[in-house]
Amino acid sequence: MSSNAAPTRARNVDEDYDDDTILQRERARLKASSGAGGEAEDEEDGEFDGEDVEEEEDEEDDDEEEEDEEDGRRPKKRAKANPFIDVEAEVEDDDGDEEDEEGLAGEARDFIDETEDAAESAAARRAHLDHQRLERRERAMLDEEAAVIADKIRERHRQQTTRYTGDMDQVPQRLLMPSVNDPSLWQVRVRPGRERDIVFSLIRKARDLEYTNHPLDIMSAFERSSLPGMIYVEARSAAHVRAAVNGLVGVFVSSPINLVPIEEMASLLRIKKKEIHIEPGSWVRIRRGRYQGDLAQVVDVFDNGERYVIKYIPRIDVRPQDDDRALGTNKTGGKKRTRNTLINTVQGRPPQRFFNAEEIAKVHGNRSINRTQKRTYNFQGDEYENGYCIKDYKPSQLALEDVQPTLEEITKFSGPSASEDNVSNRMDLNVIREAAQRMATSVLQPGDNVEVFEGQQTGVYGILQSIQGEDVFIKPTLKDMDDVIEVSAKSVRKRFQTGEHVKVMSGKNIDETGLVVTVEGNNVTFLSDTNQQEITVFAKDLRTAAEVGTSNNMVGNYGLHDFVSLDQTTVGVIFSTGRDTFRVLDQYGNVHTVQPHQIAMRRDSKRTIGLDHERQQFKAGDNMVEVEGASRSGVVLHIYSFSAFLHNRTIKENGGVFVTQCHNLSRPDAMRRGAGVRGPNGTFNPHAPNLNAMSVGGPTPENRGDRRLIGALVTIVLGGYKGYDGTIKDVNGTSFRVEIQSTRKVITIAQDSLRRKINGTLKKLDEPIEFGDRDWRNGAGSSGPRNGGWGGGGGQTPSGGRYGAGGRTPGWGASSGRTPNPYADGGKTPAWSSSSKTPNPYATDGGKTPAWSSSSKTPNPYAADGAKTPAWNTSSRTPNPYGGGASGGDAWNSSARTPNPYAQNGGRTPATGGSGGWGASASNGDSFGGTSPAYTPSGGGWSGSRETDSGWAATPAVSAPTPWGAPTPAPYSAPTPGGYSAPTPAPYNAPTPAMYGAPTPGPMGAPTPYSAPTPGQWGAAPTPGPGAGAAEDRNDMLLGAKDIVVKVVPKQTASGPEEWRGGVAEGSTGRIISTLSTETSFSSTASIMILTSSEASIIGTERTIPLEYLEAIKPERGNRAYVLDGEYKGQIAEIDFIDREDAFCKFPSGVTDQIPSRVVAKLYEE
Amino acid sequence: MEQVGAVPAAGKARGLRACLLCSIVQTAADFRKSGCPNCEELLRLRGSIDRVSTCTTTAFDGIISMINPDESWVARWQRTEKYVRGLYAIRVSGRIPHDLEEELVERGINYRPRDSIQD
Repeated sequence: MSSNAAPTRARNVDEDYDDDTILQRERARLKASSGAGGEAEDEEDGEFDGEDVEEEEDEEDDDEEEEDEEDGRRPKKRAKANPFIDVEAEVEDDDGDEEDEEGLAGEARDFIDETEDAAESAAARRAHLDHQRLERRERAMLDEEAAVIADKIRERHRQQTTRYTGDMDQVPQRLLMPSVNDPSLWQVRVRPGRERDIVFSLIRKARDLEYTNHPLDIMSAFERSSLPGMIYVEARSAAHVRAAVNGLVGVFVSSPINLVPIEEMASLLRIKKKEIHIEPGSWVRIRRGRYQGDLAQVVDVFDNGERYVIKYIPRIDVRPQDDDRALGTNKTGGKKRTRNTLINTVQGRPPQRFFNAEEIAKVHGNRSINRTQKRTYNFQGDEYENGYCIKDYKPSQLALEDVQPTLEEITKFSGPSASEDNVSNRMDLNVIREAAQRMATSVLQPGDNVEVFEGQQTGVYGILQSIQGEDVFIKPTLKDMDDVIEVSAKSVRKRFQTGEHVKVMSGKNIDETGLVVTVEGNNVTFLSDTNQQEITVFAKDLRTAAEVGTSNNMVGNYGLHDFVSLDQTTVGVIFSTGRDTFRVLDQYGNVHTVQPHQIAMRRDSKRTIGLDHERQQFKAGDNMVEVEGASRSGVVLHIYSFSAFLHNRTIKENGGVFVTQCHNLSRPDAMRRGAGVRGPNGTFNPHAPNLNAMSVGGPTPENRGDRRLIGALVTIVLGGYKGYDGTIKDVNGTSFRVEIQSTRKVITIAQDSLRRKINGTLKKLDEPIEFGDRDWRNGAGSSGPRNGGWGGGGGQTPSGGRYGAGGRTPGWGASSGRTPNPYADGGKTPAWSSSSKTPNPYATDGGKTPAWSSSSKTPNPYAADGAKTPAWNTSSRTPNPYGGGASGGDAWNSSARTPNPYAQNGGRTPATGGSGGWGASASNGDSFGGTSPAYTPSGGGWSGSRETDSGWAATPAVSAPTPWGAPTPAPYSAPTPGGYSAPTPAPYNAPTPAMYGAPTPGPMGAPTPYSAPTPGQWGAAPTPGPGAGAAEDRNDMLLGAKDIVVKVVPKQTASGPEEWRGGVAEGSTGRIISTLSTETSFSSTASIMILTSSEASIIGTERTIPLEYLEAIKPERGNRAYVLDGEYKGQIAEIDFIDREDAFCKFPSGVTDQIPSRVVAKLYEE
Repeated sequence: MEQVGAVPAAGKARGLRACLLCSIVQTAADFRKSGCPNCEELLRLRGSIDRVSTCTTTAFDGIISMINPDESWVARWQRTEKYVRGLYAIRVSGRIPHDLEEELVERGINYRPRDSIQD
């Protein structure tokens, strides 16, 4: 403040000269002069704080005055150090000046009561001076002997370890809850068992590093035995924790250090360990040694429960000692030792027997027993009383929990003392009773059906309502009793009736279930569900339960319906699990009861496929029917070689599991349609006579990698294993599991790092090689196309990888170069070939040319004249599996061998009518994605196919002279999922078996269409199947319709009605939400909201169904209707009258007209 | 010179006992040799095996390495923030002998057993 004053004054001096300013200047000067001292003081002590300026100035003025007057202040200040003088009192005394001549003791005199006489005060002063002198001397002395001081201090501190102050502040625990300002707790994972060591290490480490440059920044660390594998470290940041635990053995450094939420911190330090209260009379068990498992009773507890005196029934060897002992031979020494070692094992120990001094004296000699006090004996170092052995044990030697003495044990225990020691005996029984009562209430639950079996209310039964302490409240179910009665829990037992299904809750039969056969008092006998044996248990251990079998169907690592190997030649399916056994149905139909250890391994049949009696592929999960025999149907669980395991809930025996031959199976629909009709799966495979093929890798739609490479010999060319040879064990995408030959080690390695070793040359895995060996010979090369090849497009197309063509890439259609035809220029469309990165077996040369037709000039693989179009690749340079007639693996190949109809027909026959097969898939939203105009991207060329419902049958395709070349080759695009699905078994069979093949039993569908040397079949084609036209009309009409009610009907095909198998039952009705025209030869589809169906689960869901399978529901009189066709198409009318032929409709415009009733559809009304 | 509770050397962590009063954990030998670093005046454990066995116990759960008791929330929660650094038990079962408890009462110290941390 005074510093402010100075500039003010200066300004006044410079600028103002009138009287007023002179006055002000005077005033300011006065002020300044008074403040000058203060300012000077400020400069001296530098601590001027700007408050209470006036006061301080006064004080400081005083000080100045004093200093001015005399310099005796220093001694006075030193006097302040005098411990006996209250300095504060001295400060108030202003007249200290006068006593300056009295020197150091002046203040002392002031302090002393002034009423005392001078002599006394003088004496006191002298004494004080003496004290001071003494103290000074002492201080000097101490200064000289620093070491002594250190010792003294240490000593003094040792004396002062009264740090325990009890509950110092009485702060309730909840106020100690952590706040955000507290350090956090961090959870650190450590090796289980090392927690405590690590916590110790941390404090040692902290101590070691304390005075280094990098002390540990953690506050504390702790472990809890109940939380194995982790310690908690208190620190302000995870980095501190990491620094602290870094380098400690047993800390999992790589695992993250987790912050404990602040609300969970306190609970970490609250140990809720169950307190086992052991008091005299408690039962314990001895853990080890000769008395292992023996019941003992606590007699006394010492040292806070660190030592127990227990009594138990001794096991003293009272067998006669070896006779030869008397002979004194040394031989017996060894013998005895043997027995003595055995004596402490459970097997070799003597039976429990109360100590009988006489008996033992007989065997061991009189001198072995020392009689100590009354009824107490000493024998071999142990004390025996009343027949019991009394001995000290540590808690660790005893099992304190879950003792649960049985009645026999307790009876035996209380045996000899029953007469002499009534008190303890009674206590024993009390213990049991208490335990029983505890048990009684613990097994009862509200809602249980109970019965009173003792006491006044005996015979009453009812529903348990509630439990209060040891009493239960029962609502009787007897007629006359309405009031809730209260009875003791121990008088109540659970009540079961014959026929009830029960489950065992505890005991050795735990988890068994069964039907109650008899009830006798407390014992309930039931027939086990699992092994048909009668089991008797206490009612208290039972409860009613609906579930069958053990609660979990797992025993060990095996579960129900697992496919297991019993030995090298026997496999089977687990059809029931017991408590520790399985029942397994093997492939010969025999039932084995096995235990987990008898099972060699679990097998996987997920990828196995079987061939049914029509040589159609099927796999686990398919629904199949026996062709011969009992015609049992079921879901295929597993396939093994020629056997298939099926499951059908309705079959009683073997838990519904049965085994049958694969070739005795058929698809249910195939059965109904009779022989000669292709299965829906389209795995038409005339050239797969090799039944071994069945178990080759099945069709897996996922992009799993080329499984055919499994088993291939490879060399690793990159990475740490470079140079090693190995065998491919598994494939997953582009990573391979390779077993190194030299070390038998299996490693996972990327495809890039591997090269196939073929005849000493290394080839990339995705390089085409001759698969002539095992893959293609094995039927149909089914596993082949999974990746890269057919499915290659999968990555890009939404169709899920089936046939790549799927969604976006127009599949076969192709003939015209305009379309991204996979066959035409595979480079762009990954469909079949090549560009796909996965090892594409079909991709031939670097992936540029589509596998199918090596010549990209002639994109039409089917086009006939072999010259330009190597239709099926016969001329192809590429080692196309399909092209290679030799392999004979599939339809394509066969076509190559046989006089190829396409080829023969030359350009004229667009053989690919079969492509209908592909097309069909397009129409079913599932595999090809209904929306993809898979087949006819080439612009009208293929179109018109829509009109043909039944593939070849409907399309006059064959006869069309130049379908391929022509700009509008109408015919070819039969939408029917016909024959062609065959060649590509893999993609097809999967999830939508219905799609393929099934709908078109057209000529292509015939078992051997391609190989047919005569085009006779083709001839048949041009005639449209009956009803196909009608269906076609219908479909067309439905296009664009909205909100009309339709019914799911079988589709009309040349060979009869074809049921929709897309998951919507026939006869279901729905409301069209939208229709989608593919504008191609493929089926248009409609999204319908299912309104009614035999399957309740799909009602209300939206389904996409090809229009062929839909039929508009006729409106009734008075309904509003949608006109599907004709001049009123798209309009909504009211039906005045309708009969089978005609409908009189009243349009909103007022016009009433007569239109065919088949073009009116009922509108959906809310 | 600040005192620290004895920390057993690696691998020698046998015979650990916890002080019933302050919950510090040391080996029985350490208790006997140098007493309890916090409450030796009260417990007078040094040199007396009997005192050690009555005033300390093996029945404790969880071990805390208390490195910085002044800042540690754990120490505050465990009410050991005024004690020396060292190992402490999270929970100690048992109570001090009755005579000692009475002595504490005489000194006006409120004894809080360590066997139930929760209020």
